[in-house]
Amino acid sequence: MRPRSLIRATLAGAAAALTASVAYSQIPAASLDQLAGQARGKGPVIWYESSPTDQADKIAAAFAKRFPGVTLQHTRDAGGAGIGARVIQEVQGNARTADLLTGSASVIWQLVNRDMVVKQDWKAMGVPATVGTSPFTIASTTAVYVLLSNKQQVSDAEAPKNWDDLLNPKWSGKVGLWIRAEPQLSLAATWGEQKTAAFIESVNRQKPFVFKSTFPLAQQVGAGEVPVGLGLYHAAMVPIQRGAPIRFHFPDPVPTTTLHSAVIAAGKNREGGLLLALWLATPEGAKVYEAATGRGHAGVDGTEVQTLLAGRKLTEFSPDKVPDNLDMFERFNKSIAAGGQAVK
Amino acid sequence: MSAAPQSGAWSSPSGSSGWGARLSAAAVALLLVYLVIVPLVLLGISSIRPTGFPLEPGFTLSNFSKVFLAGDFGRLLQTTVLFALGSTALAMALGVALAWLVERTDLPGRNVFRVLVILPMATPPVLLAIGWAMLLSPRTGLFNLLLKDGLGLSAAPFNVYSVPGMIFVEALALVPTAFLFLAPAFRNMDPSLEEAAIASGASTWRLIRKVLLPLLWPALAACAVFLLIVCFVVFDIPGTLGMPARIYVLSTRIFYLTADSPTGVPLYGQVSALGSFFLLILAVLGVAYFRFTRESQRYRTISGKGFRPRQASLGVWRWPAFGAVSVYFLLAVVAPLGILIWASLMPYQTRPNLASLSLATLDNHMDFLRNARLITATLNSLTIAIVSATLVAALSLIVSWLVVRQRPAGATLIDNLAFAPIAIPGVMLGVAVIYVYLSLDQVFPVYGTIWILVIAYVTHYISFGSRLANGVMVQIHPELEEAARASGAGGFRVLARITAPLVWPAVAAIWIWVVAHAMRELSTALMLASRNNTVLPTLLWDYWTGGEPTRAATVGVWLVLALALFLALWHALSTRSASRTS
Repeated sequence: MRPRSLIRATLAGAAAALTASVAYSQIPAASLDQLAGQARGKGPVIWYESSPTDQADKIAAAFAKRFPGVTLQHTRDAGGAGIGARVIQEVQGNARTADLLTGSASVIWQLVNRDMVVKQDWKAMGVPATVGTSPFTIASTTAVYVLLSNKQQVSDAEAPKNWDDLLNPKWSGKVGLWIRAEPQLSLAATWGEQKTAAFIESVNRQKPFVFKSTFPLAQQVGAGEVPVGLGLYHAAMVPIQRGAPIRFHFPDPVPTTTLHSAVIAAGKNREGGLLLALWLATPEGAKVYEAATGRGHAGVDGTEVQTLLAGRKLTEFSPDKVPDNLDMFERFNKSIAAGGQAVK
Repeated sequence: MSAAPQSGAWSSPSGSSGWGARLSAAAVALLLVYLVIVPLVLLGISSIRPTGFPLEPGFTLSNFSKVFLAGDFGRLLQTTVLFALGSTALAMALGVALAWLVERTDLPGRNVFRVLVILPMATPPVLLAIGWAMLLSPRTGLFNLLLKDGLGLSAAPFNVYSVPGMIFVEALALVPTAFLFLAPAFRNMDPSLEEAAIASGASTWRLIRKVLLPLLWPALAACAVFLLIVCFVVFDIPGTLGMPARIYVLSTRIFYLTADSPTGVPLYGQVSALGSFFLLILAVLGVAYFRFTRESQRYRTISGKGFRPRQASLGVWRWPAFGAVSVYFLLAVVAPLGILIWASLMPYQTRPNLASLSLATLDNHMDFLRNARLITATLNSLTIAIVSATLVAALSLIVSWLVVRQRPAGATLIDNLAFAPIAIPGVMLGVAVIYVYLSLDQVFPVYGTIWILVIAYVTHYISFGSRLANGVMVQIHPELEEAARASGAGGFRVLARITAPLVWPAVAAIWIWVVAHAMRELSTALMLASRNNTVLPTLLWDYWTGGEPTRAATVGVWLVLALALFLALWHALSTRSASRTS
């Protein structure tokens, strides 16, 4: 296990970076057009990402309109971990693989460790340091965790608004959680491992329901099966926009998980992959992505999520620290999966 | 081709085989080795790789120690065994009762029930589980609320998020499979044996114990073993109903290691180590299966003498039996389908009540019908299902004919090879198939196309097809084939003109079963998914994981409807065909 002091140092840096006012992405349009010229004639840009295909189609249409002659072909992998495995298998099998992969830092680092990702000089491309998060990754979107509650079953006054509210005995057996400890990992960036682990155990004593994905979690909050929960903002917005009686509150601090993009070295249209990665980091591309998926880019000015998060304290590890924290992540995951008491 | 009855090129009734059978056996064995052994070898290699990726270097046994020496492995195994045994027992009980009532009694409406019994197969297990969660969840489940209000209970009487809940829903999902295994066996029983027993004054219990059970034993054993193994590897229902309540079985542990690995890539090494455990279970069950059916020749009941299966009169129990079967269909079809239809009409997931009725809309269905990807996905699904089913049915018939009837050298190997894929979890099969066809991409470019799904499904479903075909083949006495050979018919002519028509109900059952399962198969399809091979289940999964259960329900409703129409058409055609030939 890493020394606590070291963890705190990295956490403080990451949290500070996220809470600081984010810089406007100043990627020159000319360089994008130049890249588009290089990408044309090299076949479609293959993009592995987790959004539903209907949503990705909207992004592909906007991308094609912005860069005529460059087509985007999206392949979905909702599992998260499977998206990296797919690239590894295809590269090892000498098959056509992704030009760009968008996923969590833990996924991308598996590819970086296998020399499958192209190293970039983001600064030279006009990408601010808050967006070009490492030589291999560029931030593409931000997943934001919120406390959810059912409007019909939980009054405004009772609704959980902060972390300790989840521990109220009245929510015993009524809390919904994601089976992956992503929000807890990000929380550890501010709280440290010990406090976060203790919090996970306390929530476990509430006998929570755990869900494979935050989407069904939000649905079940809307349906009233789990009156309260810790979920993702964009996943909750899907039923909310359809009228489901769900409200949300931002806890303090707000955990976030940034999804990063990486250009795959074995991709046939790496220029197209880089073009897409850069475009998603521009206000134009970020807004298109946010409108299609409900998941915005906290590092780009003008996005809705940036407005939502303005003035809030955010917490997340920086991507290059993710490999060091995998053990802690695994411990948190196991605690959530094994803890609590099965509903009989 | 002509052949002498005893010294022909194909076989003798005693099982000694000629060159034709040996050649066929060699071809089938090679095909099965290619389909089955290659993925299994990759599974084995994966289990000893530090990263779990077969093409990466290194050797380790740590994957096994991490899996089997984990503190909770005993509890995991205990839950898995309880779930598998409970689901199998309940599915067998319901399947036997249904098969007997439909095939051998004067149950009112049995022809309709024979078609309806297939319907639950059209419902993807994930949707079945979601449907039952909406009916029996402790806080908002419709049945629970009705019972609570109606009986004045203080707490919900049922909780579907439990091992009994998982067993109940899994059994409902498996009953059609049990029925398809058992119905041909019930249908093919020679009534003269029963009549002889009755004429000898045997009691009903004695008739069941001494005549019916021994006659049905091969089919019962094959069915029970098959269901048991399915329950060991099945994911959908334990994943949907068990995981939210932290109830894990082996398959959900595999899912966890694959999809929720904290390392960023699936822990294929540990998944493969668990896969090897499935193979061990298969080996044990396979030995049991072969022991059960070793003396299967004793149970042959279809001979050259014509007969119509004896139909038992239910007497005063006729309508109560009708009621019981109707309740089964209410639980297996009407209730979950009803809740799915309800969900498909809602803008978001909500419990059925009058207040919610005002929200009803056809938007989901209109969206669905306007979706261009739907046409592609539907065509892909149908093509994959029909081609896979036809190949599985044909291959199963040939495998069974070789294994049961011809018995050439290597027959046991062929039988084991055909049975083995059932122990390969769908996720691992997908991974193995990816590696195989990535390696062959230059000469056999199927990666990313619908044909890689066909190959995976044929591999996966041959186990079911060969078990069902074997179960029926052993019931058929070879005297009809001997008579055909005596008349100068060659080996394939006997197979085509005598054996195949006799096992036609089983072949048809295999075909329907594979169509239904291929139409809804998800785990392998997700692993092999690309832009060009979208199928309906992956479209449905897109909606479900994208937070749109009502649109997922809409796809489910149309899937069930399409399959129901398909089955009705098939039933009409087969009935007309039967009436023409009779």
